[in-house]
Amino acid sequence: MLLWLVFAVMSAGVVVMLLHPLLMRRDRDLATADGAGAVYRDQLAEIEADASRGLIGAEEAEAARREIARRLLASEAAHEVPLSGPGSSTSSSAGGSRLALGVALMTGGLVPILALLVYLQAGAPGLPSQPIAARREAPPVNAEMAQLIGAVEKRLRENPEDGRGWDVIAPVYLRLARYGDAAHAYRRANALLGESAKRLAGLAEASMLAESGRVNDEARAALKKLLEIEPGHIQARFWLAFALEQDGRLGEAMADYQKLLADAPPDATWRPMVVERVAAVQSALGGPGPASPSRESTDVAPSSSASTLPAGPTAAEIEAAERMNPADRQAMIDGMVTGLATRLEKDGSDLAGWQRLIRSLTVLGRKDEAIAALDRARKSLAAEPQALAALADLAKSLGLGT
Amino acid sequence: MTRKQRRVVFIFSGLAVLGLALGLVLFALSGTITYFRTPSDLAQNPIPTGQRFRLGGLVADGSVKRGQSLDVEFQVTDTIKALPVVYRGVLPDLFREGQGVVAEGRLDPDGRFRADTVLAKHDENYMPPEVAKSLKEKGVKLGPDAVHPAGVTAVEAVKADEKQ
Amino acid sequence: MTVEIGHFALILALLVSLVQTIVPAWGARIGEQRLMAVATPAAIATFVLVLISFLMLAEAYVTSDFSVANVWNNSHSAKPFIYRLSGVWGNHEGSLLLWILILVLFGMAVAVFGGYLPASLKANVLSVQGSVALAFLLFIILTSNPFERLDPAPLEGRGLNPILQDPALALHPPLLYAGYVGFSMAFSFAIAALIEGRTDAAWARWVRPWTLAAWMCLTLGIAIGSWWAYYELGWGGWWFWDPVENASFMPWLAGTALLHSAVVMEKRESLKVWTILLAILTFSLSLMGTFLVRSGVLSSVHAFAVDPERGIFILGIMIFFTGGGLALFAARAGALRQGGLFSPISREGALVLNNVLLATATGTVLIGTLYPLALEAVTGAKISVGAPYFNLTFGPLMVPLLLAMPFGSFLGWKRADLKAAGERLLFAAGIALVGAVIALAVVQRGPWAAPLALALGFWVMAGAVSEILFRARFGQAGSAEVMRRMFNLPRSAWGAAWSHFGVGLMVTGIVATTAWQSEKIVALKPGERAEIAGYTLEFRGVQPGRGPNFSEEIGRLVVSRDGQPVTELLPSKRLYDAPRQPTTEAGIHVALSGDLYAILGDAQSDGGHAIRLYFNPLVRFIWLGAVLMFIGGAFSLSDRRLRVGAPRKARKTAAVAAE
Repeated sequence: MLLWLVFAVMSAGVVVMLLHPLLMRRDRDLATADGAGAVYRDQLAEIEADASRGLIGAEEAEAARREIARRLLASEAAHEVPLSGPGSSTSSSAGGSRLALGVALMTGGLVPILALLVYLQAGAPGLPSQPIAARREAPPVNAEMAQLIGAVEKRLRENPEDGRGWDVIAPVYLRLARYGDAAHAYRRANALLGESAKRLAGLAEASMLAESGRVNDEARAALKKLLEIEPGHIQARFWLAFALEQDGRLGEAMADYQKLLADAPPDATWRPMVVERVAAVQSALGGPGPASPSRESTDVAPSSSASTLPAGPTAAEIEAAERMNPADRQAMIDGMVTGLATRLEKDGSDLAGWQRLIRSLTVLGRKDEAIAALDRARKSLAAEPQALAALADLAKSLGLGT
Repeated sequence: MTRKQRRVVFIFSGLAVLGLALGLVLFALSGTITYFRTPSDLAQNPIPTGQRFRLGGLVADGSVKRGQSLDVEFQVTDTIKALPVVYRGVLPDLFREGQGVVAEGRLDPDGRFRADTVLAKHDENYMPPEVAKSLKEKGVKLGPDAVHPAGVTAVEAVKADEKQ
Repeated sequence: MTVEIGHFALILALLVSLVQTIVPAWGARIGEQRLMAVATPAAIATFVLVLISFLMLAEAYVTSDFSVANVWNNSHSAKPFIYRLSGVWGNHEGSLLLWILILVLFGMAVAVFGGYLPASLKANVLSVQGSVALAFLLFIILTSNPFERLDPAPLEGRGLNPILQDPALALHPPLLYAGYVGFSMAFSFAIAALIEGRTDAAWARWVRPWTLAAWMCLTLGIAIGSWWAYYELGWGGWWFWDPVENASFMPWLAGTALLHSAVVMEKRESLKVWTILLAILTFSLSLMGTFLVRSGVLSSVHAFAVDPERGIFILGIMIFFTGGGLALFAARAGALRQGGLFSPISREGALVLNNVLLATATGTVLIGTLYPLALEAVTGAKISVGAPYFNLTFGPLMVPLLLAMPFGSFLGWKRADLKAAGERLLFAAGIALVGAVIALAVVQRGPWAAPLALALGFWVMAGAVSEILFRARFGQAGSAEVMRRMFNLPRSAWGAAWSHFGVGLMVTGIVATTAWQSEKIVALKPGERAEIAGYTLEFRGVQPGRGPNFSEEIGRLVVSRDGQPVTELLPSKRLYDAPRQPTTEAGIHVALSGDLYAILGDAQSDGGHAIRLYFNPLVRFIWLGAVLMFIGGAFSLSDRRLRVGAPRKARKTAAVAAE
C-alpha cells in the first residue's frame, strides 16, 4: 500500500512540475534573455581590457572592436525580427492558452497512466526488498547457514587438507548456486576422502552447472566412475547420454535413452524427461539427416539454453534456471510445469508427480492453479487413502487450505 | 593575398595533410596487420615461418606444462587440429585449460608457435569474437551447450578432414 | 520496496523525457512560450527521477539485496563497502544507469544555469538532450533493466570480477561517461543551432564551457584507465591501442579539435560549418565508442562478456543520432553565413592546422579500429591491427602538431608575423636542443629518433612557459610589473599554457618509456638476485597472506642500488573467494626517474619463482601530463569569460570597463 502511495506522490510531483509552466500566466513571456548581445558587449569589454594591458596593439584592438560591433548590431537586428515577425506572438495569447491547456491535460493524464502501465508489465510490486542483514536475522536457517559456511570456510582456509570439511560444505555451495566453489569442494573431498557415489554425483552436477549445463570432461569422468561404483545409477546414465547428444552423436544418445526408458519403472518421476529427450533427438535425426549431426546441433544450440538443457532428473533445475536470463528461465519453468500437468492429465495415478506440480505452482505464486491441481489430484487418487493423506499433508505445509 | 588565393592555400594544405595521412594509412595497413588463424586454418592456409600472426582457439585440456623452465608450453586447439605453443613469461590471470585464448607471435622452424603475447581478458565469461566465430564455423559449440575442446568430436572431425 | 521505487522512477523518467523531447521543440517551432518553458522542469524532473533510481540501485548493492538479479550477478556480501558501491557501475546495466544519470545531469545543468540562453535555443537544446535521454532510457528499460527481481532470492551473490575491485576502476567509468555524455551537450547545441538556422560567436561561447568540462573529464578518465591497466594487468604497458581504448580516444581527439575550433568561431565567427560538423561527429564518436565496447564486435582485451542484441540496439541509437544530425547538417549548413577572414599565417590558421591534424589523426585511428571489421565483412579474412599500425600513422601526424603548437600561441589573430613568433621562441628551441643532447649523453642507447622526439616534448613545454613569460613582458619590465601582469593574465591564457605544458610532459614520458623501457624475465630461488636498470633485487621467497575477500601469495623482493637499500617490492598472486578467480598484483616502486615494476609468476619445479621485471623510465610523466591538462581545463573553465551571458552581470562588467 505504502508503495502505491509513494508512486502516487512521485507521479503527482512530476505532473505538477511539468504543468506549472503550461498553466501559469506568462506576462513576461517575451522577456527573452538577450544572451547574444551580452556576449558581444562582454567581448568588447575584453578588448578594452586587453588593449589597456598592452596585450594587443591599438590597431588590432580597433579592428576587433569594429568586428564585434558589427556582430552586436546584427544580433540586435535579428532579435527584433521575431517580435514583429510572422505573427507568432500575437496569436499565441488566446490560441496558445488553449493549446497549453490541451498539452497540460495530455501530459498530466498520460505520463502517470503510461508509467503505471509500463511498471505493471515490468515491475514486481509484491516483492519486498531483501537486504542481507535482515535476512540473516530473520529466518534462523539462513543465519545458521551463513555462520556455518563462514566457520567451515575459515577452518578450511587454515586446514585445506580437511576432507570432511570440504565434504560438508560442497552440497551447501551447490544449494547456494556457487557452482564453481561447489565443484572445487567436491574435487577436494573426492581427493582427500576417496570417491563415493554421492560425492561423484555432486561433482558432476556442480561442474556441469558451473558451465551452464554443459557436460564437460570433468563431469564425464566423474559420471563414468560413478557408473563403475554403482552400475545402474540413473542420473549418471542420463547425463552421459545427454553428453553424447551434445557431442552430436545422436544415434548413440538415442540408444542410451531408449535403454534408460526400457529400465525405467512406469511411475519413475524422471521418465518424462527421458521421453522428452528422445523426442528432441528424434526430431534432430529426422530433420536434416545424419550426414552432419554435429553441425546441425550447433545451429540449434546457441539460441536458447532452455531449449536444449533437459529438465534433469535431479533437483538441479531450479539452480540451473537461476543462471539463465529471466525470460529463458520463465520459459523453462513454465515448460516444465505445463509438461507435468499435461502428463498428469492423461495419467493421474502418479502421486509424486502431483506433489511436484502442486509445489511448483505454489512456489511460482500461482496459488489458484495449485489449489485446482490439488483438487484434481484428489479426484484422480480418490481410491488411495494413503495418497490422499500425503496430499493433505502437502496442502497443509504449503498453506493451501483444505 | 586575395580571398581566392587564401582559400587555395587552405585547401591545398588540407589536401596535403590528408594525402600524407592516407599514404601512411595504406603503407601501415599493408605492412603491419597481423592475420588471425586457428590451427586448422593454418593447415589449409599456411603462414611462413617467421611472420607474425595471431593464433586463436581453446587451450587444450591437460596440455599446459609449466614450472620446468621459464617457458610455458601448451596446445591451442580448435578441436580439429592442435598446435603446440611456447610462451616465455607470466601468463595472464584468466589463462586456463578449456578457455578461449589469443596468442600473438611467430612459427619457429620446429613448427611450434612461439608467442610473445598471450592476450588476457578481464572477464572469464568473455570469449574473443574471432575465436568464437571461427570455432563456430568449425562446428564447435560454444556457450551453455558447448562441446568441450577435448571432446570426442575431435576424432570425427579429423576423419572428416581426411576425407576432404 | 526501495528497489521498486527505483524501478518506477526509471519508468517515470522515460515518460518525462518523452515530454521533454516533444513539447519544447514543438513550442519553439510555433513560437509558444508556455510549451518551450516545459523544457526546464522536465529536465530537472528527469534528473531527480534518474537520481532516485540510481540511489535505490546503490542501496540494493550496499545492503546486498540479492533479490535484485543485477546485484546477485555482480556483488557479494563479503565485499568491502567501497566495492559493493562501485559494483553498481561495475556491470553493464548499472553502468548504463550511471551513464544516463550523467546525461540528465548535464541536461539539468543547462536547464538551471542556462537562463541567459534565448528561449527557443534553450528549448531546442533541451529537447535534443531529452531525445538522447529518451533513447537510452528505452534501451535500459527494454534490454538491460537493472531492476529485474529474483524470487526466491539467492542466499549469496556471485561476486564482482576481482579485477574490477580497485579504487581506480571505481573512478574511471564515471569520469569517462561524463566525458562521452558531456559531448552530447555540444551535439544538442549544434542540432538546435541548425534547427534555428542561427550560429554565431555567441553560440560558440555558450557551447565552449560544456565541451571543456566534458573534455576535462574524458582526459582524466582515460588517464585513470591507462594507469589502472598499467598496475593491474601486469603487462608493464600503459596503452595498447586496443579497440576499447581507441573507442574512448577518438572522441577525445575530436573533442580537442572542437575545443580549438570553437575558439576561432567565438573570436572571429569563422569555421562555423566545420565547428557544427565537429560537434556532431564528436558525439557520434562517443556513441560509437559505447557501441564498440558494449556490443563486443571487436576483439578486445578489456572487453567483458557481452550480449550482441544490446549492441544492435546501441547501433540503432548511433545511426539515428549520427544520421539524423548529418542529414540536418547537410540540409542546413549551406544557409550558415561565413564570418571573418584570415590569412594562413595567423592564430586562426594555426588552429585550422590543429584541427586538420587532429581530425586526420582521428580518422587514422578510426580506420585502424574498424578496418578488421570491414575486411572481414568484405573478404572474410580475419586480421587484427595492432600497435605498429597506430605508431606508424598516428605518430607522424603528431609531429607537425607538436612542432606548430608553441607557434600557434604566439601568432596574432587575422594575420601575423611568423618570423617575430619564431624569434620569441628561440629560447624554447634552445631548451629543446639542449635537452635532446643531454638525453643522448645520459642514455647513450635506444633508437636514434628518441632524443629528437624527446626534444619535441621539451619544445612544447618550453613554448608554454615562454608564452606566459612573454605575455608578462618578462625581461622587459621590472619584476614587480611582471608579477602584476602574470596575475592579470586571463585565466584562459593560464589554462591553455598549463594544458600545453601537460601535453609536452606527456610526450616526454611517452617517448622515454617507449624508447628506454627495460624488461627481464628471471627464475629466482630465495636468496638469488637479479639486476635491472641499475637496481639489484634479491628474492626473499613467498609468503601466504589473507585479505578481506581473497587469499594471496606475496613475493618479497629487496631492492638496492649501489649497495644502498632502496625499498621492498611485494608482488602477489591473489585468489578471490567469490568468484574464485586469480589476479596478479604488481609490485611497483615509484621514483621520478621511473618505475621499477615486478610481477610474480608461476612457481618452478626447483623451488624458484618466475619473476618478470620492468623498468619504465619517466612513465609517471604520462599521467602527470594528463592531470596538468585537466588542471589547465579547470583554469579555463573558471575564467569569467566562459561564464558570461546573464545580461545583468555582463552589463555590470561592461560598465566597469567603460569607466
